Amino acid sequence: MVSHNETAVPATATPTPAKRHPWWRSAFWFLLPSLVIMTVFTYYPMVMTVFNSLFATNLTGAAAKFVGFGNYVTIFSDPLFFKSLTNTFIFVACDSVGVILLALLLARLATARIRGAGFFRTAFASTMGVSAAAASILWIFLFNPSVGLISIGLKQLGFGNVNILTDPTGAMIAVILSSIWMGSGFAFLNLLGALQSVPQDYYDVASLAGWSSWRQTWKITIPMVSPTLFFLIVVEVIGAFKTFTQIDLITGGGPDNTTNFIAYKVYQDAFNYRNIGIASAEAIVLTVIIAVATWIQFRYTERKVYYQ
Amino acid sequence: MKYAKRTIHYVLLILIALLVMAPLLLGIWASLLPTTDIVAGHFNSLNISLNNYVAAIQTTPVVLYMWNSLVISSLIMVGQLIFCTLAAYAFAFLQFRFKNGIFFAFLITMMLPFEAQIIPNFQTVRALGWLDSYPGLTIPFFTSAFGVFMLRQAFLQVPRELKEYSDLIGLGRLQFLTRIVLPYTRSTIITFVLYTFLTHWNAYLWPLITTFSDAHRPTQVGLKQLQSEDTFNNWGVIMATAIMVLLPTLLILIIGQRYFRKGLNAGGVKG
Repeated sequence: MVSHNETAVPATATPTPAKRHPWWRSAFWFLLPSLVIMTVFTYYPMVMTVFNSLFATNLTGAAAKFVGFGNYVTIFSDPLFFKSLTNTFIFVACDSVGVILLALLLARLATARIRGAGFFRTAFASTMGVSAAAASILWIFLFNPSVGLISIGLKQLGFGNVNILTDPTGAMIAVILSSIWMGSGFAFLNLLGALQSVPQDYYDVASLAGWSSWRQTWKITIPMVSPTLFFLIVVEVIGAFKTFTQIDLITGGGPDNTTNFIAYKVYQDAFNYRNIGIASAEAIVLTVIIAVATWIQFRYTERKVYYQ
Repeated sequence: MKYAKRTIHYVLLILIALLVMAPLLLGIWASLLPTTDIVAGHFNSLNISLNNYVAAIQTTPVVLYMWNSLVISSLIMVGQLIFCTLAAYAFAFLQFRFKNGIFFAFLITMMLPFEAQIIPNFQTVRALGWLDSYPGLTIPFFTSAFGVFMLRQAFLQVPRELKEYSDLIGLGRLQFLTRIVLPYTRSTIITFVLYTFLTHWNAYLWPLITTFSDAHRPTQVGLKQLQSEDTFNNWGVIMATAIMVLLPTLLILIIGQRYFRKGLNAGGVKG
């Protein structure tokens, strides 16, 4: 809050009538810094990516020959890209569902009015404070075939000497598990806020009416937090489509390209194989997917977000 | 009965908290153990010390990486605070032609994934001679549509009367912004600043492709560098560097938790 004392009125101040500002103080100057950055580092590269996707490019990345939709035809007839796309969708589905379910469970447990709830809330939110790179190192350690506790545990359960990260299914599960862990803190914090805004009276009445806590969850909690749930699902889906760090660190896209998800493939094709035309076409496919998801989110949450 | 139920709830909470925190707790524990014990599987060893941290600081560039991250994240934080505040001010308080169109042009960038812009951005930064330098790592991120949007939403809640009052006492636009709007929306500003710092401390893809030397390499990419070095199979030291890298953001999150809960929720649900 601003107290009027802080904005002390100078003794000589005279009330000025609403004045017209000269042109150089117009909104233009307020917007200019952001507009310059966005033009150079967002609009221009986006246009260039579309442009490059229509050209065959040479090794320096310069457009060499117009090929129209040729690059798109190439990637969609490339089994490797198709595999990448399919596995990306599988990953996105498992990751998003996993994150939401885990966060719901954590938030439901942490809203109980008990002593020490604050400690548990911090514990559950903690993964949000761990970067994807650091989290990847923690999980690499767990998955390591000789020292990793997960590998050791699997061995004791009778699975023998398994190297999770060199097995296609194992690597996929490893990436999903670690990604769910990384995403749970953010989702938990959001859901916690939403759950706490549900009036306690509703639960009190439901308890009086003899509703089970399962029924209370489905009939009261879920409907009340559905806007947050929807927001989270979209955010998780968008984030999952862009998954990069844990792939680069944990699996490198392998084994046999199983975890070579689309964002990672764009990077590989552009910076390892120097195939800018193909990489740009793949990037545009990624953009379309993300744009559709974001558009759905805007449409749905518009009412909630615009206070005006 | 009620007592039993409460006990069950606590047991469940503790079990699940342990499970969720297991990767982190194990990482911290391993960072305190000698690598010989880790390799031998002696996790119940009590030979704990800070030796791995000393070794990490003395034999790896992790401190330099952290310094780079601090510089980069702070520069971006200040840049965004200035650039986003100015733009948000215009959208919230000024009337001008094409306002809705320009606002839409800002918003639409939220739909465009950065991953699809890295190739031309890499070429731009290379052409500017900014590869492997602080400007190349920071200036492209000096504004964000999300930041402008978040601040505009907060600015719109500043009562009209305050604007009229500031006009009455003859405050200029920048004075109104710095003396009234920013203090009034303090909680959103703090959320925004913490969020920006966290996001860019944790950035990975852009520094991965634009840094080639330790001189400007930030922590997240530094972790990859350390982990991929052939001679580096010293688990104790690897875990110590990872813990050092995640500690600052973990602390920010724990201290600023309430801001994140409030600020992030503004986008999802209005209570």
